[in-house]
Amino acid sequence: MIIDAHCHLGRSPQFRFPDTSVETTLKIMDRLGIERAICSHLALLYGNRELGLRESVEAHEKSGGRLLLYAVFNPTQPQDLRFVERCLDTKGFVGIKIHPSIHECYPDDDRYDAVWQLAARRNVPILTHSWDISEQNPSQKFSFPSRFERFVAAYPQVPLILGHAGGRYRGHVAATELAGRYRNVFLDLAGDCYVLGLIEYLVARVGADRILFGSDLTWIDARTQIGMILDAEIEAAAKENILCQNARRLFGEKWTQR
Amino acid sequence: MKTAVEQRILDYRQRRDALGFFDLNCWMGEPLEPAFRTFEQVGALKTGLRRFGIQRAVISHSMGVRYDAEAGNRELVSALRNDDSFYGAAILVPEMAEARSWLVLLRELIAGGVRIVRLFPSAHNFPLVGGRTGDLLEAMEQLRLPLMLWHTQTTWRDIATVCAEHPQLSVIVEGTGRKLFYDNRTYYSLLERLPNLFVETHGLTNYVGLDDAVARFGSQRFLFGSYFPHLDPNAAIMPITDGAFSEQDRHNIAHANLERLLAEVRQP
Repeated sequence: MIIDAHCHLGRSPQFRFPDTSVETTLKIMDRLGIERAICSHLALLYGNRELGLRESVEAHEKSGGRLLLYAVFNPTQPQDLRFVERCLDTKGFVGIKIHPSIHECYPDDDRYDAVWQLAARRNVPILTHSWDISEQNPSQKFSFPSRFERFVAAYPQVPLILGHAGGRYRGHVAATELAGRYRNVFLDLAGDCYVLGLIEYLVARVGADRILFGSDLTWIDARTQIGMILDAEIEAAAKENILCQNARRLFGEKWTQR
Repeated sequence: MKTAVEQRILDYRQRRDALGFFDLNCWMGEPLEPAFRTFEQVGALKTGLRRFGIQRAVISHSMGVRYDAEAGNRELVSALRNDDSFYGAAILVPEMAEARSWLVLLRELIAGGVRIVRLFPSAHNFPLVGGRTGDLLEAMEQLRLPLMLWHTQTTWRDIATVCAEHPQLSVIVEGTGRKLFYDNRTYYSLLERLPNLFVETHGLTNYVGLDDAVARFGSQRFLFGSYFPHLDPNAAIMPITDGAFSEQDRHNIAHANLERLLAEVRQP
């Protein structure tokens, strides 16, 4: 049994998405043994709030609750906080997603404080995009792991999941350094982060109890990360934690309540 | 009694090992990217590949990208000696044909175990279309020696031109850096009209990307490659072992398509 803690609904204009229907997502989840997936709708990330909310709720209902949801906070749109609260009051929403690269706002910016307060008050985790500094994609500088320290330190009761575990090599190193200092930092394996030895490195540095399986579906194929986890040179019990138990501990109570 | 996860690990490894993966994209020498693990010498590389169920591979030498193509090819050919399971991908630059013809040079490389040619037009500052490169591509066409290119080292327009002007040349595209599948609108249209264009699969990691591409263009157009040891081969393997296509398609992508292309290379 697998829980995918980092998924999407919808599509982006950047490239051709073969099939983003909820039916296909559920079929893939069945084939791969994924019990639940926690998704942020790409329409929410790109600012199409009402469409994103409507389709998120439809997906949750159509899936019989297997597709769970992240609300999305954009710090450059302060009115977004009320929208995030509205999402968290809606059935199926179990966490908050932030994306400093898309929203081009460094994660230690004052404008994020409100969403950390909200996460603390509502007792929900925050999932963030994190990545290495990149010449090809300059906006990735907004998501370098060390820039999250300010609010991680200020809100130790709020779990922060560093999506993509820092994205590329230097980001991975920085992500483990942050997780080494703060127990409320978790790392997920979503995205095309396939550097050889990554899982063994993360487990050795952070421990298998704070690493989560994520795929980045509908962007990335979940088989890529599942293959890496199944074959990693770590204990089977650690794989069970990564694939399922850590997400169950982090989110499980919330999805039974909602 | 095995736990569910233990059983799943076992099943996956059995499926993988049974497919006999033949890896088109392995590298020896200094890593091209920062790495948690390195396998610079060919012996360690081969052992490392076998750990992932990969018994056969085409190997490139990073020295040919980062330092000097000719020196890299010498190291590569020397490392390939006496091993029928591993072949070479030589890296060429235009001035190599000044002292002798491309045909003579290519036949020497083939005799040394080379079965693929790689070009890096951007990093090595030469045009892919025209000039001495045209003569090289003609010679490769004559010898049925496939060409391998990174999508980040040229343009899709030039790739299309090469495929059209050299219909007997198999052109295989892969690449590192910018995600290959971001270009899927472009290469889908090229795969439709250029039968000699192939795609190595390690960059086709978008959601249901390989399933969709195989359904549209047939499995014969896709070849397994891992970019080992920079990347974990399992990321490229499981979309094939667990792909939504037939067993024959699985075998085609895992090894048979590459076997067919390499068997066509004309031996001296």
